[in-house]
Amino acid sequence: MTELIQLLWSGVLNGLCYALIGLSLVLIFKTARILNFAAGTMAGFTGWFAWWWATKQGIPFLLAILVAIIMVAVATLLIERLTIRPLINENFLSIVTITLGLEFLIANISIRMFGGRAESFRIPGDIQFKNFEIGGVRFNWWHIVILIATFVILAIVGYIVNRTELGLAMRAFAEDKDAARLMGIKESTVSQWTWTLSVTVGGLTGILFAPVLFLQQDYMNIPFIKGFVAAILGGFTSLSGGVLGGLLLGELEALAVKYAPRQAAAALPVIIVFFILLIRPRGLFTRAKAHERV
Amino acid sequence: MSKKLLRLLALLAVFSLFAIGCGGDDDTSSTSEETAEEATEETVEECVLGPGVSDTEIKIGSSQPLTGNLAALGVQAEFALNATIKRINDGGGIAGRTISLTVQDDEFNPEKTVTNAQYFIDQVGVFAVWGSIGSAPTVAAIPLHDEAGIMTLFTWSQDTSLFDREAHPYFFSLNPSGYKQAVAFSNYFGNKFDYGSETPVVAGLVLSSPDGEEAAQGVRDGAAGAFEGGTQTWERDATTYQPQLLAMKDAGVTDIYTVVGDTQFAQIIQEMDQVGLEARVWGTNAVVTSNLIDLVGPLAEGALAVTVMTGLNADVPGLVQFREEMAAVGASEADLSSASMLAYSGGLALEAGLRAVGECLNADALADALLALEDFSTGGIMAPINFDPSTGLGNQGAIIQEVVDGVWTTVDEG
Amino acid sequence: MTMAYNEQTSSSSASAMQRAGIPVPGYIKRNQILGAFFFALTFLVIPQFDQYTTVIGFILVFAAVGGSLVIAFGAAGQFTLGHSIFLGAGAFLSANIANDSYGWGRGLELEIPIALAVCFVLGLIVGLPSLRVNELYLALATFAIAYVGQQVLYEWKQFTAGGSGKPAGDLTLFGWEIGRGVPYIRLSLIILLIIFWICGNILDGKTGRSMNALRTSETAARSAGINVAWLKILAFGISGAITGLAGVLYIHNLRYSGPENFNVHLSILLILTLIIGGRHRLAGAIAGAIFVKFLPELIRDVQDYEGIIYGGSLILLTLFSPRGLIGLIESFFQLLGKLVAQTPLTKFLPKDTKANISPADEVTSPLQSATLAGLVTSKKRGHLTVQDARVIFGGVRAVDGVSFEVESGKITGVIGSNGAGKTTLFNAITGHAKNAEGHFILDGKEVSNKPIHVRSLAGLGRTFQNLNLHGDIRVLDHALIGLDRNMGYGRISEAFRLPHVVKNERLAYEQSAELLDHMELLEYWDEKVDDLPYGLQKRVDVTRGLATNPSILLLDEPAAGLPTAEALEMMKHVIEYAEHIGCGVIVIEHNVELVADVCERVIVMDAGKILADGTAESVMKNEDVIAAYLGT
Repeated sequence: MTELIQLLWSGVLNGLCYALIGLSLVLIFKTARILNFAAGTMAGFTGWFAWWWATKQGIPFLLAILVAIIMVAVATLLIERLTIRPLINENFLSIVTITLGLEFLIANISIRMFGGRAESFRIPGDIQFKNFEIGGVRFNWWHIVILIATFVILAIVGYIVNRTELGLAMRAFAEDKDAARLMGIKESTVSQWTWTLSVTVGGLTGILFAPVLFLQQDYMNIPFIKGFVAAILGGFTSLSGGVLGGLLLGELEALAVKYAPRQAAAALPVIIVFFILLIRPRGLFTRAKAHERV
Repeated sequence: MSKKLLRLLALLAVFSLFAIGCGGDDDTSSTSEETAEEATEETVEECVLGPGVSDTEIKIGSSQPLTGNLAALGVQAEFALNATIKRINDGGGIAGRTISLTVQDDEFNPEKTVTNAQYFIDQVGVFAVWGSIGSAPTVAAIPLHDEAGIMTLFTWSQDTSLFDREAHPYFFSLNPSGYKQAVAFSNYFGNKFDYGSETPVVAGLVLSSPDGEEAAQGVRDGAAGAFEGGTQTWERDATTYQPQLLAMKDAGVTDIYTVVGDTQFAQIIQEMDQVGLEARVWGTNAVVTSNLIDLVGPLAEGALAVTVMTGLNADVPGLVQFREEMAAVGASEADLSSASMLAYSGGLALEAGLRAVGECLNADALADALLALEDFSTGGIMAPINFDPSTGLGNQGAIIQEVVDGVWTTVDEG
Repeated sequence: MTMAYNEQTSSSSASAMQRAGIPVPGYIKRNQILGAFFFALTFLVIPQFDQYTTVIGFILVFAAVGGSLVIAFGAAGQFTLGHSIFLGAGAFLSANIANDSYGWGRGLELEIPIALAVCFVLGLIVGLPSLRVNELYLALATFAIAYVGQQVLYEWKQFTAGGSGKPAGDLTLFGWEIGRGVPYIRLSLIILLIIFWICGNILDGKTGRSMNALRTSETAARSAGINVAWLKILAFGISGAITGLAGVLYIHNLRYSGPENFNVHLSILLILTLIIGGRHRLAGAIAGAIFVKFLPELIRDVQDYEGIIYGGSLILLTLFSPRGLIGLIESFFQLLGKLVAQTPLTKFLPKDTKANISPADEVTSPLQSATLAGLVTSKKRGHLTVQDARVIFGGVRAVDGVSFEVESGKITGVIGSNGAGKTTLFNAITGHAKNAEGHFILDGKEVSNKPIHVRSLAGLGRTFQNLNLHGDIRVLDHALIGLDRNMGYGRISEAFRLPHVVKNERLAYEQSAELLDHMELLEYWDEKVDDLPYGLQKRVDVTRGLATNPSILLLDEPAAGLPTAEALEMMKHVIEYAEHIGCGVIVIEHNVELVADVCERVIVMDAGKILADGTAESVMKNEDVIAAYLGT
């Protein structure tokens, strides 16, 4: 029994990573109908940036994180204004291409600034190395921090989306772009804040998982792809769907290692996703769209 | 009108087929520099210099992963290459020639390695491609090298197909194949290692691939095969390894043999601690870096590795010199790793070979010179080097290292 | 029902096509000649660039894939992130066929056909999700497929040797060894030329038109008789096959193939290449490939900043030219043309033929033209029986037991207040209402419960309240799309532009031009419908319906938003044509004057039921009708 719980907990850890990335991707997709291909690179850059402030500039840990997040958020506002806003009326493909260009750009800046070597993001008190046990199941303190942080992030995003004017505007845009515009909601405002929120969530993910995955070039790229798959699973327009999809994918991976035949273990989670898509193309957690008018 | 068009097209098609077949050269090189030296009065001997060799210069190319997730290896190797070039050139060169090195990024993508290879061969005009990293890139590029008569020297790649001098006469390496390394580990473990009183359970943690399978097979084929407790595989895009480690914990594994890079090794060590798996963990060449210690600190204590090189703390003249020369080209302590040491050792062998050849430098001459090296000393960095004429491999042994007091230390000179 | 090609042209008056200056479809287009010229040029000068043969090889591979994506993505609108799987399949098929030691030791003569066949079938399978999802969701589904596909490559050890990959076999054709470098490039150029020729033929023919139609409006495409589902899958099949062929070329260039390479990043790069170049043009595939693959070569000296240069160029290019590099080049030439037009050199520019459509010499109706004259028939069609039609959404009974019968060739009007269920009734008849019940019989054939396109092919034509036009497509093509169903050639003939293909195309163009002339749209033949004013757009919608040669045409508020005079004029032309081809018309309208003028019989609907049914006069005097609809 304890082994099973330990296994499930390991799935949760991965799941949290995918869930947060899924959340960040769905935020953008839901409102602006855009796939942000640069999300992984941006998340990784933020993690590196926080490390840079903490280590190279000698700033206290929490302050370094804050500075990094704020600077990345400001940078996102700038990027959105300069490269994405001008194309807001074009086909979604143009913006997708922009995000791809951003990916190359940011990856290059990252390696020039931070070097190619792997680094360790040391948490004060080295809590990433400290474990404790409950009933024979071992937990790591930093993983608990990640769990708590994830809840906090979800709560904040949930609050913003459901209880603020901005959130209302975002949801209006997600429902019906033209109607929202006619109601006087400024598309530019929604766009810039959606992007900022999304990239901030991604950035926090990069920071949270830096001690788990170690800071390497492109360390968030594979989790990004997994988060993408998770968001697909959840239906890509449901925020909670993206999160649940992430957790589900994480658990599927862990269980597949233990129970699935070796050949299928890797592909199994994605095969399951694929079949779910065939049966329920809108994903597991979205409601069907209203009848289309002819 | 249409009939005429069809006839014209048919004619064009036939003409094209001929044009393809007859036009152009069979190989890609077209700018090889070949000069014939005049014969001396006594002997009617013509010396044909290899491509990239002139009276004053030897050009060498290197395709490294300078970006992407193996960027660390490329950067470290590049330092070692530069250190070697600096040493040779500062010392006046060899037979009146300085060495000029061109390094290009291949992002660990065979597509790029191949276009780099053509760049080296056709635009730079090199004599050899030195120090490539990775099996896939090397396997992809070596046909181009072979066709152009370029040497492929001292790569860090483990694919067995490379170690065949009949197919690749100009391939020389100091890094054994994955299988050989696994056998070396297995034999050491079974015959020499003191694993304590309990019966050990040995498991492999390898990438799900033929490379990984070869390694797992190597463990089984050696003396440790008697203690085999199964192999766990991980996928290229695994985020963490906890599920695999938990399975090992269930099976009571005492020793884990891994074929991974140093960052992954660090992650494995960290996660073993997080799931409460108490076992010894063994790595290969790739994990012997001070970066590993930086990443996981005291958790690294007791980690073991089967390498072909000595520990970073060893008091051997070769290592001292290595440190000095690396510092002289701007490397830091963290850049001292297997990648750089391997490249550096290759540089030592290369220098020795070049000096032995002297003026009349071409691929065959260098190949012969390398094969002729007997017990070549790297100042203690590796066991003495002898290149096997059928495989091109320079060392066969295994040196066992362990992290002691935060430093990789040689514990057995297999 | 194929049209007979009437050799005798009307002697004295020029045909509509000639007057409008519409280029006659032929075997080769001007663009193709230009393209072939560049190919020949490249073919000849390649030895000068033999240090770049490896890069050029990759450029050609990417261009081939891009060409295939012009069909699947540019034309059919399927945004796919899964094409790496075809490239991988083709590469490994080649490795296994061509290698001497572990393969069959054969050459391209086997590699190419097998790669084409296998990847075509694979494409059909990969295309299945496109039936359920659209656009970005399709991207996600294909993303998942590529991901799974890569895992399959890793696990299928006999086929791919797992992580180690397989080296390529020798490059031979019927035993004749082809050297690396320049000979290989020349071979690739020829193959690419053939691929582009075939892709161009497909795009110019009915398949290309149908794909563009389904991209811009699936609803309307179905109504035109296009089997949207099959066409989408076919797009994947064709594109997959060509990409598989590109995979064969790929592995011979790389000389090694490992599952690692065929990842999602590659898929993204493949479609990105076409987006950069310009996705509606084959030239875009080449432009994009050159940009993506050659830029790194140019910046070798500043490799440290490659990402910044590459990503930055991409961003700048997208910001300034959303239509890609080809769009940029076209804009440049347009600008140049404008500048030249302001100088004395203007006399060297080709004349703009569009604006000067001379009227016919004689007052001959297009209906008398050679092409349309053959359609005349005295046999009337369009006998429609509607039995107990019902459409219920939630609790709303939009159509509640409607039954009526329309005789062949008759013109019937349907009026009623908003929400009476008129359009829904149409939707039930044509199949656009999914949950409709009832029986619908057209000219003796039962069409109930059949897919939309099947009903359309049976003779049901319609127009839409919401227009549903094909936005970025020309007016002429809207008519051609309607005629496509009767094209007397198959897709394979189309791919090779065989003589009967050209014949059929010419006939269709002639007929379309005459139809446009009849509907007074001829001068706008080359305009994209999005650019037209509303009134003209309505006319295009109607013309499209007529072009399908329906047995009965259902017009949904064709005059909405038009001034009465214009509306009457349009309806006059419609009725004329309907009588010419013997089809019936049912028209929904709010403009009672129009209905009274045009229809012999009027059906009044209210709250989903028929309220009155009779001549226009009698219906308008009916008290219930006055109460419900006409007002006092």
